[in-house]
Amino acid sequence: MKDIRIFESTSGGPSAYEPELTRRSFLRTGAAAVGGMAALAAALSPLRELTSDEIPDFDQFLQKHYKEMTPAEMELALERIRRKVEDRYAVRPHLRDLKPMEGVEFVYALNLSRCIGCRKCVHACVAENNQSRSPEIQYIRVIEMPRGTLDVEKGNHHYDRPEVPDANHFYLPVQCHQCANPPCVKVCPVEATWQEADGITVIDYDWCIGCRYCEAACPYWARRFNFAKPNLPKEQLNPNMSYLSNRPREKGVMEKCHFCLHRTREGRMPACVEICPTGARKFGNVLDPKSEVSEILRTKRVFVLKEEVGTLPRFFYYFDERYPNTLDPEALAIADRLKAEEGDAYGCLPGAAGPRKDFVAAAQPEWWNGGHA
Amino acid sequence: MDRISLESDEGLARLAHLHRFAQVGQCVNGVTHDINNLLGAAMAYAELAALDPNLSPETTRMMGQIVDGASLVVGPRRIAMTDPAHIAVNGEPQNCNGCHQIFKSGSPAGAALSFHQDVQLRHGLNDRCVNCHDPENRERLTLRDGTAVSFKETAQLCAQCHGTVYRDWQRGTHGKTLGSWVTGSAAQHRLNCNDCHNPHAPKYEPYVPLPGPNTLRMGNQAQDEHHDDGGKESPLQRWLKKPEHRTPGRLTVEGGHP
Repeated sequence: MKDIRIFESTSGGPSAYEPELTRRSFLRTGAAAVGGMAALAAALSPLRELTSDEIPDFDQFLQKHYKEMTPAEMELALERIRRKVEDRYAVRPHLRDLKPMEGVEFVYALNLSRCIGCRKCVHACVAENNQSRSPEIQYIRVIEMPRGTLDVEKGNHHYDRPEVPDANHFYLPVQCHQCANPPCVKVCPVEATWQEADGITVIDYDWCIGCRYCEAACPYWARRFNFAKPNLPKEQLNPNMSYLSNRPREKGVMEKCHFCLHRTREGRMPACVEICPTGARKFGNVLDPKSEVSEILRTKRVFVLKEEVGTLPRFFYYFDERYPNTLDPEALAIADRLKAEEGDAYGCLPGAAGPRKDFVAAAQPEWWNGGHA
Repeated sequence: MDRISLESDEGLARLAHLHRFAQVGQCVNGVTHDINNLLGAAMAYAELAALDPNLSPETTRMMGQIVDGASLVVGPRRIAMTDPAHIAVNGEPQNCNGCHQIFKSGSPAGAALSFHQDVQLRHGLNDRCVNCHDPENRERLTLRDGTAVSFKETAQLCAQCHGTVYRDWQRGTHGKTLGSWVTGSAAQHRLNCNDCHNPHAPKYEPYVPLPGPNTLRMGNQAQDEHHDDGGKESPLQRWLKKPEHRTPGRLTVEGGHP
């Protein structure tokens, strides 16, 4: 106690621990403060470029995760998006939140013998799903593959020929395979993407933080990122929308094929199936034994892409069997022989001079009849 | 009237007679707008024109007009066949037998067609009209055993040779289904053989492929990597503007949104 008192009593002058406000220290502190403020302003300057249209409003900021929203909250969110679309595109969209149908699991099948690589599916998809036109986003890639291999490393998706199909290639369209074991869902740090009951892996564009982990995880390169603000001309907007499918996206979110769920969950076909000029694309409910896709899985030798990575895709490819056709050299030889034997009577009318040509027999080579021609 | 053979003098004489008759018919047509007489005149003119190897542009135009209903479209045809079959003559639908009651020409050895000249038969070995068309009733098709079928039941006809594809088509694994994926729903619509394939030349014509990916990170490195013009023009629109891609009827992206 005494020591302390002595210490206090001896501290009459300025303390050694108390900083002295000198001119130098004032200038130093002031410069540091100004520099810090300038750096903060520079760091925040991108915010100044945001338009009011891009800043999330209060409702969107407080919006819950898709799975936690009550129907009333979902209706509020839908109304907010409708207003936003109307402001931006001057069209009142037909927007709703379609849920998976009971007893339905979607499966896609694609006949590689029939695909001719015309890329109509690619552009029908862009038109249907309101993708950005510039920079362009396409969900479907058609890979031109050399005949005799399934090594996608040898494929080329930039093919630009005057005409397709090319005789030395076949065409392998790739889009989201809606895997039953999707790696993209596992890596999402915020659960912005998940698999629904009907097998479609969806993205909530309001929940996605744009980390692009899912893009890296997908072995099929099926996910696309909006690096720039999506540009979509007003007159090209498709007003038929669903919350989880083709409503307009923002910059910095992921998107991908969702089997046109705003169409398919109402019983309709996806746009790529509707447009395909050759009928190579097949879509349906695999839980329905009478559906076309079930029939294909039963009767065709289907395969999936990159089976070894264990993603269990719901997207199956198949080739047709070799059909006996008129290009068969054996059949042509038979026809030539008949023509030589019958002369002018070949192929004449019934009742006219000479026998009626038995066209079908002529078209069938011996091996087709089991060798009993 | 009986079948006319152009190989005999009698046939030619009758053809000349027919021509005169047709000219009279043409005059009558001007007054009465009698459709049958109009047909007679048009047919006679077409037959005469066909005898001349150097067709005038006017004739070609007229023939093109006559055979409008049968003109071929590249790609999926999506032309609904009717029963009975008909053909547009000067914009008026006409039944096949309207002409073929007079003309029962049956090209005995694959002679060149004198009337349906737009029909290019490229069907492999199947190179005779009467393999599929009923020689007696042109509004019907004929199966191999002589059974007549309507133009709406072409699948049976094709099945005679293309059994494997027919089996696949019945199962739904070949061909195209539109409207709905729900099996058996009223909206579901399966296309027939001739909805996609031209029966006279069933092999698909080649297509001009639409433009490929030109997006960020996926663009063609050799070409312009990223073309951002503020959304005024998509790569598809730019591509369609190129003169070599302006062929009408081949490049339309039909469908899209409802």
